[in-house]
Amino acid sequence: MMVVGLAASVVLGTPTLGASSSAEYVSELSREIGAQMRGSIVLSSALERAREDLDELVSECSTPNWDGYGAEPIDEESCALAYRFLEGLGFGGPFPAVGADPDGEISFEWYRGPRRTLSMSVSPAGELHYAAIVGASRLYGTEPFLGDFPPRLWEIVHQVLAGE
Amino acid sequence: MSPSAVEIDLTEAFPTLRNAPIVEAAIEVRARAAAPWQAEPVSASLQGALFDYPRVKLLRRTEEKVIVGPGQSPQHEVKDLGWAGLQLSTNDQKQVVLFDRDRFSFSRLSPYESWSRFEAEAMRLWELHVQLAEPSDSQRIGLRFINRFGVPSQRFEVRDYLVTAPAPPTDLPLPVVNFLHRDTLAAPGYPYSINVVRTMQPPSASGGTFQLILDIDVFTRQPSALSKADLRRTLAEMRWLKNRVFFGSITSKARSLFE
Repeated sequence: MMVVGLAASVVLGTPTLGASSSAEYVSELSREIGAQMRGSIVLSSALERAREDLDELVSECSTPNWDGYGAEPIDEESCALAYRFLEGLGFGGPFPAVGADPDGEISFEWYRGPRRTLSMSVSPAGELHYAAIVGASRLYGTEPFLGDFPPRLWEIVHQVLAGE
Repeated sequence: MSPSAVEIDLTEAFPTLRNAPIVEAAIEVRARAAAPWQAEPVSASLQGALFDYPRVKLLRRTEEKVIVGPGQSPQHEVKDLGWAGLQLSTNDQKQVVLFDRDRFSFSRLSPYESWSRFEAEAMRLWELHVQLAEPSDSQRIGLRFINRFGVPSQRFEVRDYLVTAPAPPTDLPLPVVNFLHRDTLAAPGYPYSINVVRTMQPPSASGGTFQLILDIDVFTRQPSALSKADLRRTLAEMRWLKNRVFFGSITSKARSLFE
């Protein structure tokens, strides 16, 4: 049986929404598999580290003026979306560095060098604002976050990390 | 046929199964509403237009949090993040439609009647969603058919019903008590992928038979501008793939249960 490589944007993601008891049964089994994976230190270590980084960030930046220059505390809805965002990257990642912006939004950065970097922030309205440098190209825009990592952004992540 | 080649033929006719094991057919489009999405006007419009879907459920976004720490019992918090949309269903609850800021979905539960009726109703409801939400490009379009059928025996071989069946390790022929297989297939030359889940549901405590589940979810994550014609063609192509996967996943013994 031939196995072909596919972009993570295709393989990962939640299934088509179902309303039947059978759909719920399949979802429950999938959640059990996910829990089993999380129980493995090896399989879940990258995701757990990313979550711990986010936990630490939330803890440090949840009060007003956390940076000493009048920064807003991390917005709660932005925080909830950020956790969902990390989960959407799956167990393998690649996971970004996490940070907080002075306006209270959480930011993510994939960095491979000064000419290969992608920065993204999660707004409380559920939008991902991004800016990237890929070689001589500059890319920027906004994508709605609907629960799964947007395919357009996966392409940019792969361009930034190409050759890693 | 080369294992990497596929050619979708929308003129291909598939057998009609009198007792098709479809327990749910579902269509979902994930796209953010570009028009204002507010509870009162959206609810009023939908309930005014869909008298045949009188069962209404308000959907709200929630965030659940479990806080654990040393010396304290876990605390479970649920935070209400506000109105998200509506789920409406027919009186017999066989048809369920969801209108949400970030998605539209329509499900037909058993008994499934025909593709033409299912697709026509989905498109009718989708057009209503378009009028209200003016959705932007889609991030995902999915067509999912969940098949479930009882096996008339307490001891059986899964391979008698499903082409791909669980197998114990070599030289250790232990009986299988349950399984969950999930394959993701590509359709080279097309922007579609297919998640195929095969699993088994044991009889309930009150009795019944083992149920085999074949769950086929054809989807695309290629952004689409969502014109009606494009969506209909996409769904037709997905349906072809779904049918090929279905008929290629069951044995002749299983098919005889459905004819």
